[in-house]
Amino acid sequence: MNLETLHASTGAAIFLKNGIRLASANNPLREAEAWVSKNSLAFEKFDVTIVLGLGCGYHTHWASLKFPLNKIIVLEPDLNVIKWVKLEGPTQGKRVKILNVMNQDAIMASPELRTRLSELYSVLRHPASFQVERTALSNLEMIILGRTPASLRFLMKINPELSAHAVKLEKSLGALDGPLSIKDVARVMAVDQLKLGNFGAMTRICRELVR
Amino acid sequence: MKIMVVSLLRLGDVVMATAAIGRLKKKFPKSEVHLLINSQNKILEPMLVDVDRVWGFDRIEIQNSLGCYSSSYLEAYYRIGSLAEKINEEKFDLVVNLTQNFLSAFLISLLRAKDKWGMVSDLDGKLELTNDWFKKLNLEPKKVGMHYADLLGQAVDDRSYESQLKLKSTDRGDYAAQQILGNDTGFIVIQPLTSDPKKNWGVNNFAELTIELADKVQNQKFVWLGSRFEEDELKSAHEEMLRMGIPVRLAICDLECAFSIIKRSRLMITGDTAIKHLATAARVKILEVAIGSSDFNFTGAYLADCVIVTSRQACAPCHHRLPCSRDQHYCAMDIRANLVGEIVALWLTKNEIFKNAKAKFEMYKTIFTPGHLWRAVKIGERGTNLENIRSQSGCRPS
Repeated sequence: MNLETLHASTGAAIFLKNGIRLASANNPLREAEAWVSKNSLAFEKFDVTIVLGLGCGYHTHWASLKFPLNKIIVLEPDLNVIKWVKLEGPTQGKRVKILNVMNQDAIMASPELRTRLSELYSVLRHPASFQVERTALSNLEMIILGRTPASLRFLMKINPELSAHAVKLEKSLGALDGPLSIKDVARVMAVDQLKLGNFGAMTRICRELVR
Repeated sequence: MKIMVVSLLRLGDVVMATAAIGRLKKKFPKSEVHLLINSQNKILEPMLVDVDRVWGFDRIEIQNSLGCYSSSYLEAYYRIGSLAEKINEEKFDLVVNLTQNFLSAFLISLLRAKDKWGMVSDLDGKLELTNDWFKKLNLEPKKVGMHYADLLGQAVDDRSYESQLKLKSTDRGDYAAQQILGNDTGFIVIQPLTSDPKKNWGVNNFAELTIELADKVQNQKFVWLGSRFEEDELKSAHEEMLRMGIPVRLAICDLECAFSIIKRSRLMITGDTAIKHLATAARVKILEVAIGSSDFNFTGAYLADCVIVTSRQACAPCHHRLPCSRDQHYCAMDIRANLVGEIVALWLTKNEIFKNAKAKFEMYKTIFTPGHLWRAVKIGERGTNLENIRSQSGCRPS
C-alpha cells in the first residue's frame, strides 16, 4: 500500500498518498462539512450524485449524513484507497456506493453505474483526490459528462433508450473534435433528417434554449 | 376532461393568458386545468384562479446545464424527458399551447393528448397552427390589430363574450400589504422602474409626476412600488419627496404583496408590463406610460377606462430584443411629467380626460367594443369625458 496513515489534530485517521495529505490535518470533518455546504445544490437538486475521488472518505460520510435520501456514487481509481477507507476511515451511509473504476470498460462492467448514468445526476470533484490522481479522474470526469464526441457516444450507447440514436449519430459525431458545444451537436445531429423521435424533439428544444 | 395549458413566456404573458384560461374553463366547465409555465414564474401560482395545478419548466437550469462544462451534456435531455414523462402520466385530453414559439411547439410534441391546439409540432419537427386565431398570433402585432389577450381568448373559444384577466389576492399578500400600509386605501400606486431599460420613463419623471399630483389632488396619498433589487434606485427619490412633505410610502415587496397593495388603490401608474397586468387583474384604473418596446395596441392595459400615454416617435414601438437605436431616449423625453400630472389630476377630480395642447405625446383611452374586443381609442385635444367616449363607441363600462 502506498498510503501512510496519520492522525489529524482531532484524532481522526487520515492518510498521505505520494506525499500529499488527502484530508485536513486539523479537522477533516469540518473540512468535509464545508465541502458539502459548498456543493449542497448538487445534492439538493439531484437524487444521484457522482463524486470523483474517495479521499479519506470524510466528505462522502458527511454528505450521506446530511442528505440521507440521496444516492452517492464514488468513483475511485485506486483500490488501496478504497481498502484504507473501509479499514480506517469513517463509516459510509447505506446509500453510498464506492466503485473502483478507471475507464469506460470498468463503467460498462458495472450495471448499477450504467443505470445511474442513464438518469439525471450531478458530478462533483474531491479536490485532494484530483491532486493525486489528476489524469485518471479527469478521464473519468470527461466520460461521465459526455462533453466530447467519444464520451457522448459512450453515454448514449449505455442508455437503452438512446443507444439506437448513437448508431445514427456515429458518423456525424465522429467528425467533431474536442469539447462539444450544444451548437456543435445541434449542427451535426441534423435531427430533421435523422428522424430521432423523442430524442430529436429534445435536441430541437435544447437548440431553441441556446439560440 | 383534463387540459394542459402551456405558457412559456414572461410573467406578464402568463397573467395575460389567464383570460384565455378563464374562457377554456367556461367552455369546459367540469375540466381540470393544469398550467405549464417557466419555473421562475411559479411565484404567480398562489394567485392563479381556474388552474388546478401548476407545473414548472426549469428553463434556466436546463440552459445552464447545456452551457456548463461541469454538468453532464445529457442532463438537459433527462430533465426534459422526465418532465414530459410526468406530464404524460396525467393522461391529458387536450394540450393548449398559448406560447407562439418553436420551443413550446417542440415540447408539446413530447406530450401525449387526444387533441392539441395552438402551435404544435410532431416528432419529426413539422409545425402546425391549429386555427386561424393562432395563425394571427404568429403575425406581426401591427398586421393583426388586436390585443394579445383577445387573440388568445378567441383562439381557445371564438364565441363573443366578455373575458378578463383573473388573479386572486392571497392571505400572505394581504398580510404583507397590511404591514406596509395599515388600513389605508384609495392611494395612487406608482411603479417607477421596469426590468427593460427602454421602457423606463425615469425615476425623476415619476417623482415630478408624484409632486405635481400631490399639489393638484387634495389629500392624495401615494405608494411607490418596487422589488428588492430596485430599492437602492428608488430610495433617494423617495427620501427627497418625503423632505418636500409629499405623502408617499415606499413599498418594497414581492408579487403577492404588490397585488394586494394595488387592489386597495384608486389608480396605478406604471410603464412596467407585468405590474400593469396585475393591476388589470385587480380591476384598478391604470395610467400606462408606453414607451420603448411597449406595443400598447398588442399588450396595453386589458381593462376599460384606462389611459395610455405614448410617444409619437417613428421608431416606437421598437424591437424588444434590440437596444435603443437613437442617441437619446426620445420616446421617454417626449412625455413631460408636469403635463401628465395635469391630465391625471383632471381625470381623478373631474373624471374628464383630454390631451393637453402642449403635449408632444399621444393619449389613448381603453374600451371594449360591443363584440367584447379591446381597443385603444385616441383622445383628442377637445375636452371630453369618459361617459361620452363610452356612449359614442357603444362600449361596456369596466
